[in-house]
Amino acid sequence: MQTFNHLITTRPHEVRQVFISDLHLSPEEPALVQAFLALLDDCLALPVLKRLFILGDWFEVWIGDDAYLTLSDAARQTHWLTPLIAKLKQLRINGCEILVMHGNRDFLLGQPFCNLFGGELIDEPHMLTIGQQHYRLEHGDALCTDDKKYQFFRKIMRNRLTQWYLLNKSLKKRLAIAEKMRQKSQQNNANKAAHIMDVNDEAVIQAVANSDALLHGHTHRPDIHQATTDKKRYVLGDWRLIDKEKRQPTVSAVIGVMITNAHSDSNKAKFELVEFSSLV
Amino acid sequence: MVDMPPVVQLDTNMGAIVIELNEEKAPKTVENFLNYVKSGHYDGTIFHRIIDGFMIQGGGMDAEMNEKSTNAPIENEADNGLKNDKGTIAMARTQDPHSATSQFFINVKDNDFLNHSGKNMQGWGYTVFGKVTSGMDVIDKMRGVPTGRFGMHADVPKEPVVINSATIVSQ
Repeated sequence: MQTFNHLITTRPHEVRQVFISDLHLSPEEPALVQAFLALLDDCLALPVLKRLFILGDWFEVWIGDDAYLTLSDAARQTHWLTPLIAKLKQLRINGCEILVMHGNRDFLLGQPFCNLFGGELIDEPHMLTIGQQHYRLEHGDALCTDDKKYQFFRKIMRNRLTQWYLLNKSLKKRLAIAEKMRQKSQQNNANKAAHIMDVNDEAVIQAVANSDALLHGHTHRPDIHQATTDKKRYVLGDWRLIDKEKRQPTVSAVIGVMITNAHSDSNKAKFELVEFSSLV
Repeated sequence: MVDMPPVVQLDTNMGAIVIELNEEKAPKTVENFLNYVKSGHYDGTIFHRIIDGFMIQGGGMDAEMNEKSTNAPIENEADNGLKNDKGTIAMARTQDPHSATSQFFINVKDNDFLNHSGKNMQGWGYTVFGKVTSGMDVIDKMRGVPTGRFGMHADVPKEPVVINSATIVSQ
């Protein structure tokens, strides 16, 4: 797989859109936050980047926009999200759209938070034309229909009434609920067979029926899979801290790019998976 | 007698845009803008950066994409309470909050993230100093024009969108 670094140093004028997912950012894992900031620096240096897509699970947990929005100016100054917002805002001012989709962990993320950097919360599935092909973008958890328990949980959590109920609880209560949910999910997943946590073939065939290709994250199985015999399923990767014990730990992730030849029209645009890595 | 706000008309090759300036909220910025109008600086400049869903920016380049010389940069007045809402005009600048000269932009969407949120590099925001009172249809046409790269610049209209003249309608 080509590296993102090679692409942006050799062909910076061709990168028009960048797609990422499953960063699982949290203050507990600063290396991932640093790597995301490094990616944003790369994006800021790209002369014709028009869109950055974040396809879900940007954050490990999100208990509501108010957790950040109600902070005092002083508290914001030192908050781990602030440098990230500043860079995203600069990227938006430079003319790059920032499109954010919910994941299964940060489904409470709202437009008010995205307004801080001029981002837009988009619904899934999101249809996108790349070249002559119609791509269906989604987080990917809805495709894992073998996990009946999770699908039931998802249905409840995506319900507006549930969300309204949750968001009306105090921040402290929400933090406690989030922690309980995280622990439970870890216990559950440890007991689940691997195939249950991957996509269901039937669900994929249905999802791709009205498009030419699927693009999603969630499964942590980054690769180009076959959705049907003639349609592809591109899966973005989760952000991983590798070589943790070594002197130079690295964060690595499979991300997507839409590239166009600098001198050709947008009909010739194509999508590729590339390997992003950053020393932290 | 009630003080009438200053009004400026931009005659472009795509139609006229009338802008009412807010002298009360942004006195230095309005004075600066009117000085450029009076000196004829804007005549023949183009909207050189057009991004649909964001803003259209102009007032600093001629049709050949040469940057015109300007007066000294002005103080940022973005803490005046005016918001970067659709149809407002604000000063463009570099990353330095107090670096605006002649270039301005017209918001084509509510751009909350450009508003003032604190007196620091990140939070200063962009000074709104007026609003479009007629010609939003012209701006709607402009934001749809095809754009591309030109040298170091992205989002440059392929056919120049020219401000033929900028005139003071009332002051």
